[in-house]
Amino acid sequence: MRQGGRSRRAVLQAIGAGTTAVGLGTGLGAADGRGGRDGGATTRVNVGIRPGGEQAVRAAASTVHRTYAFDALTATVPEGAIPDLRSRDDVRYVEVDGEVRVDGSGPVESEDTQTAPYGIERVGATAVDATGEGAHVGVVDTGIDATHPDLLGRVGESFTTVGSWVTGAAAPAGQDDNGHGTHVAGTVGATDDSGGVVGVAPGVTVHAVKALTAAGVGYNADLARGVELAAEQGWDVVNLSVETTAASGTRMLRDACAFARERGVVLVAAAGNYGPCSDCVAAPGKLPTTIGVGATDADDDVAGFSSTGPGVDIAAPGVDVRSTDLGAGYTEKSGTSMATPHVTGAAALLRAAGHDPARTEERLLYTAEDIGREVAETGAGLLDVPAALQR
Amino acid sequence: MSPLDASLEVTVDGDGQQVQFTLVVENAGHDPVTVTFRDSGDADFAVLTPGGEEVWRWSDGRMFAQALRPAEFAPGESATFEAEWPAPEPGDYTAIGELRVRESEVRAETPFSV
Repeated sequence: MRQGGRSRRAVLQAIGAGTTAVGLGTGLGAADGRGGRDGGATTRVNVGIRPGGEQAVRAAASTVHRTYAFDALTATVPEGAIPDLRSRDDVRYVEVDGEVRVDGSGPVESEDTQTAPYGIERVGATAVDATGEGAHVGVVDTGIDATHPDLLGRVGESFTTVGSWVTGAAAPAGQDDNGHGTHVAGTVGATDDSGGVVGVAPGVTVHAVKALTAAGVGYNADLARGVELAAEQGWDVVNLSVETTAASGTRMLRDACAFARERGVVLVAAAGNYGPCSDCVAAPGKLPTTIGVGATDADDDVAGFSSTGPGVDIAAPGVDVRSTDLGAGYTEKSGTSMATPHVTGAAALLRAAGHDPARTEERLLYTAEDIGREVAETGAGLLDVPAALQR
Repeated sequence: MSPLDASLEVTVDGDGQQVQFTLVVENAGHDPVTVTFRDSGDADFAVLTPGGEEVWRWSDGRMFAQALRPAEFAPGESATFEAEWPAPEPGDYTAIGELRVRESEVRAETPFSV
């Protein structure tokens, strides 16, 4: 990560200047309100159910926000009702949904330099003819700027799963108000033309699921709904450049990923930026249903920030990655978020070539290039697109 | 290494229904200080019992976009980060506030009671 030359404006965007409050949380999530049916505090929870459990949740809830195909609900219930629900045989789990940051800073953008997306070349994506045409990739993120010149015509469906519990004006479905999702989408599938950048799978159709707020923070329920949507829509691959801080994640997230994987969606997720550390990959990257992706740099060194340990299945470039930005521009970003879409794009190429989900995952890992790093750091090795596509 | 000063203020509202944390980070030095946020979370807050058991953490159950975000504190510049513990149990606690940055710890602790 380049450290120098940040403009003051960039700092102001990042952290808020002076004594301006950045507002990390408003308490909206963990306590939706203090006016439950019994007059006590209420809490929004994610509830996993068995047959018959839905009635019990509905009876206890002041509001049912959402139901899921993987036998779960998001509901606001009186806090006093939680122990009773948890004790029921027809309730599998009750998890308080996380808060979200509803206000705050935009991302800091690196300064634009005329740098080619080295990662696309490093993984060999420019050495293959395959474009991924016909494959469908869901980007569950901050949205995608579908008007970006390098993504124009590439973005199919647009959804927003950010729930009604987030205050502020709702963005039009799928619209990116952060930049993170647009950057990810460009690495997956920016158009192969004369300008800008090119993605790993420049013929793929990307679909936007806005599950994170403008600040880039999200609730479990919104991410789970995004993953469920991918399964409902029958998309081939879904990109999850997000991480929780819990190794096992929540039951809801695990269930959502299992649901989508069983229905043929290849799930690719970031390993996390919490390095140097050992055994520190969290969900969804650590889940057995996802391909967890660590980050390397232009010299094939493992990025110092890349989380290591069980859960890292493969690695891809994630330092100073150049891709599409809001406002028809381009920018460099670093993170396992940036490594992940390289693998997502490669998965899309394999799906478009007719490989089923299991075979796609197998080929990605089996053909990865040995760059001489520990399994804990890079898993099977560095993504190798030509090798994965070889007959 | 970090020449950033951190201070944490804890405000318990009148009837103990809500606890507000305010972390102020200031560059008290004469040179600019660059930090790199690990993800889309700026700061994290936690509440510990006197026995050291963590009873609440702001980041629990949340997802963060995994892109680094560099930022610079000019000399004398400060930034404020806030979070709220919405449903506190009465008791004595220690609050911790820290930036989610790659550089050395930027962290403050404050005891408080609900």
